[in-house]
Amino acid sequence: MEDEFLKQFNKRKNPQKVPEGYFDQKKLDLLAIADEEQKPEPKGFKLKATLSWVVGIAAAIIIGVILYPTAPKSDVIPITEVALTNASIEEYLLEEYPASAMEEALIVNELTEEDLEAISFNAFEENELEEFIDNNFDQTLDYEYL
Amino acid sequence: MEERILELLNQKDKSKVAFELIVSTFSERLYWHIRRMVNHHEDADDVLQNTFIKIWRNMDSFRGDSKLYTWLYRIATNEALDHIRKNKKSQLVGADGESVEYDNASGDLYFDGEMAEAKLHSAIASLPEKQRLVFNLKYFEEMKYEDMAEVTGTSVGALKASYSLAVGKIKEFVSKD
Repeated sequence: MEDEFLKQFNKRKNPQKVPEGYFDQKKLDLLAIADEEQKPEPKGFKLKATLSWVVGIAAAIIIGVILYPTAPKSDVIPITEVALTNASIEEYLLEEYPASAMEEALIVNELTEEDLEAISFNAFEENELEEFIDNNFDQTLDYEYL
Repeated sequence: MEERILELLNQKDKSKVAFELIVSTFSERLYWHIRRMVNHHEDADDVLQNTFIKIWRNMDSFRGDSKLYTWLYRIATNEALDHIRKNKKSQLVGADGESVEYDNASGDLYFDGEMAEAKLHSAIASLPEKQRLVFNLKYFEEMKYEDMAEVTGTSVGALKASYSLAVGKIKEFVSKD
């Protein structure tokens, strides 16, 4: 019934028209739009690549800091870290002023066996040692310690 | 052709080729489907372009759960309906709230009002958009009700009822003159 009514019309005869060459041009336009839509992708990829480089360099710096965390140690040792004992002072003096020890050795060398037998080092008082040096050595001379 | 397009869609690097095939196979059919909905060529041209942009952007999301052509028609239909609703303000609205934008001859440069079939088109243009859609898909596209259900998201029974109502209104419109 419904179809019978509609049979009077030819559905292939279309009163609606399109501009000449419309579909050919439209196909090209649509493909061009698809190309345009693809263009941002490489830009995004480039940004990602740049970011990955930045992240990589930052990671390398952080790892470097972790693996070598300490700065070169200062040569100056804080005085609070040194135990000031007699032994440490003696060691320090021997290291820093070896000439003093050499001077003492030269004095001993100058003593004869009799002198050595006659005296007891333990009995030497500081003033007696100074007197001995004053009496036996020319204080105006420079002694070579080599 | 649809099988070939589906094969290409399954290969990610072939999506451009698949799109080219979709354009060459369906652009004309989709244009006429849209044109019958929006009537004017310029509007149909805009809607067709938006339709293919959406197709291109969503090609990866097509899983083949529905037929390719019903998926394409659904996008085109939604775009056309969206366009009609956006332009509602510029349309004449009848007393019953239904669109009466059927003065094709004065509104569209690309309409031959002298043809007998022009009266049919004017009658179709007078239908509410849902009935117009159903009538066009059934009469011009010769689409099965099951496929129409996929396109419109409406049950087959409701579609049959809409088509019957549409034909009745067209008959009434034509018999008036």
